Amino acid sequence: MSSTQRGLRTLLGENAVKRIRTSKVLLVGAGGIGCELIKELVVAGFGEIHLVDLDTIDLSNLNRQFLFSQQHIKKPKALVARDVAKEFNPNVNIVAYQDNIMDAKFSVKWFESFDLVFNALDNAQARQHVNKMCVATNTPLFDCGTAGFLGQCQVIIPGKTECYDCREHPAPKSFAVCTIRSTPSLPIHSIVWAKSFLFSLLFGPPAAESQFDETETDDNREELEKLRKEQNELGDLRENLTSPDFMNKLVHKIFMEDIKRLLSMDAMWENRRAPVPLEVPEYSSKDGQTLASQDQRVWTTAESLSVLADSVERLVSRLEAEKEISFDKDDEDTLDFVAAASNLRSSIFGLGLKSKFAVKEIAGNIIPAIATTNAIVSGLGVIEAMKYLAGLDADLRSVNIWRSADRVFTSEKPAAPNPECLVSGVARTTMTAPADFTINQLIEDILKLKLGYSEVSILSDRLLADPDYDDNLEKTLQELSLHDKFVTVIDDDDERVNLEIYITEGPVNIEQVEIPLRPNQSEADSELLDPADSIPPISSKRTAQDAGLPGTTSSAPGQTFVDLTEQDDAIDLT
Amino acid sequence: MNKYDRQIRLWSEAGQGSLKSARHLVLGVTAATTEFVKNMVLAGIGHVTIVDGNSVTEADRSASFFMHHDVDGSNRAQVIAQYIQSLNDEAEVVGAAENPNHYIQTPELLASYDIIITTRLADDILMQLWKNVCKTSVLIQIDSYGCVGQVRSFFLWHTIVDSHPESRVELYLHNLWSEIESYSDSIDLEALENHDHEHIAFVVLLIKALQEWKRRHHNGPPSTLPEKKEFKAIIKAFERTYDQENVSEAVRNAWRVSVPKVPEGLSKLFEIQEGCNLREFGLQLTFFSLVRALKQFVAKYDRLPLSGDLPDMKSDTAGYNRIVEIYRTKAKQDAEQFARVYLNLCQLEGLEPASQSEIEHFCKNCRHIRALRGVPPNEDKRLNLRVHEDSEFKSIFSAICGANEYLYRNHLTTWYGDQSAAEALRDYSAHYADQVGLVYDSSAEELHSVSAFLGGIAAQEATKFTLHQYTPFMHTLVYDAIKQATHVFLNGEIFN
Repeated sequence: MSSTQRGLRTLLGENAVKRIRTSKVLLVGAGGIGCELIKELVVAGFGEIHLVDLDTIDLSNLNRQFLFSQQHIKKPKALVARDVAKEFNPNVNIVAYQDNIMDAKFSVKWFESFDLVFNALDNAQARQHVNKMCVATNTPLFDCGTAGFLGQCQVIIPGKTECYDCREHPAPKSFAVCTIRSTPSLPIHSIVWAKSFLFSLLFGPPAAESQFDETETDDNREELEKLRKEQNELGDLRENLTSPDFMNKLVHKIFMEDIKRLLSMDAMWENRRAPVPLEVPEYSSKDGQTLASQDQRVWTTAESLSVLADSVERLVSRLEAEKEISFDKDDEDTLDFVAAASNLRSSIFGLGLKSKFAVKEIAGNIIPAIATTNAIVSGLGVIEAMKYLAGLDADLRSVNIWRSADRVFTSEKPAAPNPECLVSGVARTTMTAPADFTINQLIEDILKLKLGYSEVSILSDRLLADPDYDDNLEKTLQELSLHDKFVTVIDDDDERVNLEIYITEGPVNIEQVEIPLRPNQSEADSELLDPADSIPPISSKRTAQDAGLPGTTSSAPGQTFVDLTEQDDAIDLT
Repeated sequence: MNKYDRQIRLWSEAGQGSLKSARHLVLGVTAATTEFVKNMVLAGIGHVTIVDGNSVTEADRSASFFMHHDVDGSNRAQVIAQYIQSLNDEAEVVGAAENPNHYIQTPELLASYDIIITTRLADDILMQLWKNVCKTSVLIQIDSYGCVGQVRSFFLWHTIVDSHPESRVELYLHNLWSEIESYSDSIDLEALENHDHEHIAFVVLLIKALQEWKRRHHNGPPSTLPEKKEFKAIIKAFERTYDQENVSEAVRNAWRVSVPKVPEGLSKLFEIQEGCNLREFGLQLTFFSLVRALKQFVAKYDRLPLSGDLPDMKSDTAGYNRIVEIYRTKAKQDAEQFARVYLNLCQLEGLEPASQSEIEHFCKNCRHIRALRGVPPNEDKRLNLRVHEDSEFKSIFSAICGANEYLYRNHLTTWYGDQSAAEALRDYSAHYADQVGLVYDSSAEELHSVSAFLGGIAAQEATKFTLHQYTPFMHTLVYDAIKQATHVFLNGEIFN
């Protein structure tokens, strides 16, 4: 406790101050918002703060993450934040973990020990995970996020308000493979091509499976055939990376031969601007390094070729030690390659050219971030948390920073849970079972016998069993690593809402649970309930398809999608 | 790559340069002004001087992260300056252990700062300060009391050249020049094969349609609804194949043939500078002399300079490249002509001209420039009390001004334990006293999170004033943390 806090006492009451002091808080993320929150929680007098972040400190963090400076670059955020905060203020008492919050060791039991959770994350996957754990453990969650001048803080009181997943969030951008490989129409298509196709085939880990949907139709047979040939040729080129003629061969193939091959498919260009194979001017890899440092201006064709040649030399020389290289926006060699190759492709297809600086933003999914918006959002988040602890439930507000002439943000009473939500709208229970407990035993002894199901499907992060899929029936919980995880039980008779079971190791036992019936469609469509009524969440249907399981997603033939969001893109992944 | 990468993506290297050369003066240390300084220093401000004559108190410790038992007895400004300097060695942070009043009464000490931040100044002192600095600085006052607070900005003019418009596209089809016209004339639509016909850029289709329109009518481009329908029918008649994409694009862009007007705000700026001595615009001298030159350009050519930006269009590559080249060349010529007009003007008026790149930047953005005229502190209070709606926020505003006055008159930093203060606060808050209780309950102490919020808002405003790219609010923002709501009392004028 930093001081007598007379103001806080008078304004929020003695009880609130006591609750703040005895609260145990989990803070997920020690980035821009995380650093602000640490400071605010410490000054407000929160007794015990646990801080989780997997990430290390990067130069580009320093314009806002005030606990970090030059000397901390590449060190773990969570640990440095703890130590530096203590240098600034001896009252700081933080338990720090350099870990992924989705790690199994942060179990339901662990989440249960917190009074409040703050999310200060920038990736949807981790946010959804924390949200699910908070809803499952009935722990209030204050989810903060910013992007440039915009930001939001959502107040989530499980069972009473919407959760993070009660509303749909925009899906990450993805593109049809044909757009990327054959018919790019925007500069971003060239960038995705250079990064996810060309770079990874030449330098990346061998692709696990073909990027193509093998379903052939009369429409795409010719195109798929040619794309396969193109990909195989690249594979051959990769074998010859160290040959002195590699660069010439590469340029000849990808910017001339492949383009001619595309042009030969007349039908493709009837309604499109046709590409023009590259006319290769004089260039030299010697100029590459100097040009690559000029990242604010657009390079000419010859300059892009010079940078490409130079970056290829740099990447090839690394291959002896590294075997394979993955794209990383902060790895200059990989960024130079992608910036140069994408601009060459864009000029072939008559698309806008981009500076290396701009390519980096797109290829690395960079979101602008400034100190002020983080300060604003963090302030709002902690105020809501203090209001919650002061019992001012009716005054709780979720906030969107959206500046207009007459206000800084809009705030709204959190809405009631969405009965269709896959997190808020399900039944939950816990069970214990030994390591050698099988899926079949789970279905027969527990689900059918004890809970009265007749036909079920079971999912974890993949399909485990359904009436037509019995491969896993004799496998044990240990073999499938299902301890300390949720499995989802779907009623195939379509009567009950989904049931989420959290399994821990122990003698066979399942916690009593009432599984509500699925509401009929008309009820489900009715308006959201007033949070004041605090009606418990009801129902939802989850199918294997919703869960996005392999082989169950449907997509048009030839319309496989390349997901732009890859592991290496996550900026502050926690 | 540099450490400002994530913000340069918003406001460009040029914007970052403006921050680097900015100088701020902070009069009085509170949690809110401390947070302000922290945010500006992280963003890369060039220099900030923090002035405060007092040492760290118990109230500071309960609201500010950087003040704790270890620094008891030290001067507040120096403690803050030392900690915050460690956040960014590219910024210069100076702590001055002096009474802010000394600065307020010494104009020479104020002259070199672009933005002056004050806190809890009584209104007449604020007015006195304003009179000394309004020609050279923007004034921002941050007041934080418990769960309420406000940020007020005072400035004579704020100008914006790059206002981040969604698009700078302007085709100027009503006023064709020879290159674009002869390019269009070189294409004989009827002689083209279907495939080539489908790849004629919509710009050309619009020019052809407009020529046909002029053959039929003599009164300028289509303006009434039936005329617009007729014009679209002319375009539609070009169609050879079903749903021909370039023709659909031409129909969608048909509105672009109307005579583009000089935006209303810009015409007003033309009027405002007319007949003025440009030097009266003080810090905005360059902006307004460019505006005067722009007016002369418009008088001469009957249109604004072309930006050279084009929309996406379906076209064959050669045709598209040709159109891009024609528009770029024209935009370059316009920029040169504009520069000539401007440099002439500077010579005539004996002004130091802006740099070549500044002139080009202004020219490219001229259709979207913006200017705001602010109000002085006394206006802001008087005018606000006339506002009838938002009586609750008006009451908070009034109570906070009253609290500032009370503390200032009585040389206090808190009224903790003094019950008679409630009555006194009520007196100082004049007629709008409903929310005095809320301010009184704070004992003049700050809640850190409220101050962090206000410090964030104020720093964002200061950033806008420094960058000349974004529109600040005009001019008083009042915040209620319990209701989680803000209200901006609008005042002054905006021209855009």
